[in-house]
Amino acid sequence: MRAVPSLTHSASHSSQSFQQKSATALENSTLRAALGKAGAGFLNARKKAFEQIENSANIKARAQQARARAIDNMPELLLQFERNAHAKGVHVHWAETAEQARAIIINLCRGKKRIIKGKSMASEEIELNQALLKSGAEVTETDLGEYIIQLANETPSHIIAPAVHKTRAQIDALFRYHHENIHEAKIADNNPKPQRKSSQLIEEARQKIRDKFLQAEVGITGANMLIASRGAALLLTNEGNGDLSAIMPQRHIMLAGIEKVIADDADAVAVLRVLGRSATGQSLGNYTSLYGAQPLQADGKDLHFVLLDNGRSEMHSSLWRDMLRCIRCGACLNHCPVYTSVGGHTYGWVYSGPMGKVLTPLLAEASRKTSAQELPHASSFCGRCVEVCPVGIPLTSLMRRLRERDFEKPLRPQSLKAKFACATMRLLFAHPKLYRLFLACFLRILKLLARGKGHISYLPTATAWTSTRDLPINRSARAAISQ
Amino acid sequence: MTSRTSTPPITSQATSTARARIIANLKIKKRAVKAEKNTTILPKFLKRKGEAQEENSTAEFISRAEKLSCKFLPAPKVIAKNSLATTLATYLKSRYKNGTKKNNKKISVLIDGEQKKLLANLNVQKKIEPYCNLIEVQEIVDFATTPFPPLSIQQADYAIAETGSLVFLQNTRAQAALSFLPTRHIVLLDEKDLLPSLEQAFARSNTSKTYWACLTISGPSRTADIEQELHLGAHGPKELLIILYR
Repeated sequence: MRAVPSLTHSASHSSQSFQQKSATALENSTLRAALGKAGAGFLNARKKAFEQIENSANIKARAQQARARAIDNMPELLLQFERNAHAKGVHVHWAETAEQARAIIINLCRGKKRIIKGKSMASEEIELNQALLKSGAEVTETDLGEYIIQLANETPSHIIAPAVHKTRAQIDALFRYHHENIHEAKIADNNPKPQRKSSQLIEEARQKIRDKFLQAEVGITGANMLIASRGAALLLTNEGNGDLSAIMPQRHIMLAGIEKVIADDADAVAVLRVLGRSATGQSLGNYTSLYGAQPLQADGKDLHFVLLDNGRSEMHSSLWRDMLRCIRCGACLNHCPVYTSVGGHTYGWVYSGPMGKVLTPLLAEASRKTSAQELPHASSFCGRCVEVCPVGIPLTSLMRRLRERDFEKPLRPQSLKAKFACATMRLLFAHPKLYRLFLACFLRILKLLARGKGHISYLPTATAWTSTRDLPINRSARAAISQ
Repeated sequence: MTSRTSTPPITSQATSTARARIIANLKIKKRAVKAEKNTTILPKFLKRKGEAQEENSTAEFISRAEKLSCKFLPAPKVIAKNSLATTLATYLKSRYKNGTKKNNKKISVLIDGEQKKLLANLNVQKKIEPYCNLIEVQEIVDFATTPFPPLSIQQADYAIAETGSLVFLQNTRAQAALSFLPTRHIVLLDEKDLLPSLEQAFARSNTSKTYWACLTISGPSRTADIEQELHLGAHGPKELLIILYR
């Protein structure tokens, strides 16, 4: 796949801080338009899906119970899963690190050139595509969103809608470049073609990817659940690309984090009932398929499960264990005021939004990839993510624990301004008389600034606030002044 | 093409070391925060609001499937087993007239060996043959020689009323691909194979039938990856037609 510098707007691999990246993202009007179009759709669909059910609270509680049970019994369930899979002639590989997982998969693809992939966040996490391309294989992402970002040479910006940050015009230009070799500049100048409809773009991608399906030698997909009692895995897609990746090639590799294990059918159903509803408002994913359900025997099909740890077993005995319950539905992203303003790339790694703020510091730190220190701080703690989480993960508490951990380390404030503020505060809080004196002076200044208006429209040192809105003067301050 | 022997390429030593270390890590319970024990007994089944709980599975299945953009042939109703052939023939005839008369080509209908037997048993084959080329698919390569197969006919193993889904237990790759590659997918469903809930569907998959993939299909393939606008027909069928018979 050719990389097109002029078409990439990826900020994902830069060394900028979250703050710098979010400032850039907020000024990117194309990105804001794309995110704006996505927002309401997700929210309404989810709301409607749960409103239609009478016992929705119970359905969620049941899903939470199923996930908690899986996490509590993880070691036993994983071994049970392996035993049951082996009994059917399915291979199970264990990978402690991203590197091991890549090595296992590259080995399984040895001597095979044409590889197709269904959408898998775990594969993004271990940067599988780059490794496979390096080994000389040809990799094609088949989920439409993943295909788009592969052409653009970017990383996904949403765990279930990877290309949510792209507008139709951008996708049109990408397709023209990669499918017809027409460059963006050319379209504008010499060859003004009308922008195509979504349906035309989907049809074009369908034809392109169809050929890949027919020739593929290996298919790599993720897995939504590993059912221990069966030794089989559930795969959910809407496009049917996951199934085609699984079915068409002779070899099928399913890559999944070890936390994806679930005890039995009843627990799997409990999770299925909330997964589709939380993600897209569907009662069930369009294609919900069970692979490895019975012994493999027909037409030389072989199936490999790759179980990825990459920091998860470490989380299991930590204060962030609840995070392992996550079923990757994306509801917390869709409902997050920070995510919906800055988009997924700002978070700097494959997982974004509230779940990313917890996962990235824990997983990415294990592999020493990126420093994600700022992420737990990039939250207003409004708690909407906790409200919508179908498996009841206390995301804000987990973020707070990460903040506390960083404080204990101890991590010093970084900017000069923050250092000055902290030093001043320490001084004032240690000396009550000084504090009262400071407060009396400060309130007088505020009163002066707010004179005649009841609010402050300019406050030095707090211009980030006052440049766009007024600061109301608070009642106790008024009372203090009048005393 | 490729060798059949599949020896685990990474040495079993490496994977068992990884396994041992991961499991050992998981068994440490040093700082584990106890998950709250949820002791209340939760209801197993889904209750829907606002609409009268459908008493029979057939009505619920039809209403769910229609919401998923499935179409029923001829109309949303159950037909008699012996009029199956006429229904299919009428449909194929209409497609033949509208779609492909210009190039004077018959529509190609893909089936697998098992379905062929079934169609013969139901006396369907003879009746539909004048309107289509019935092609039996045996291997994946057959799809490459039949570019963009327009239609396939399959019998569903069972269906789920709760979600309006059809379930196929597939034993070969070609058989499984029949549900995905054709532009139109016609599914025959016996009313007695309708199950009320997801739980029952999972239980039913523990049958003696040999299969390797259990595919649960809820409506035609769809995507909303471009500007979150829903479109039917991403990689799989653009249209899913169900013939419900008893």
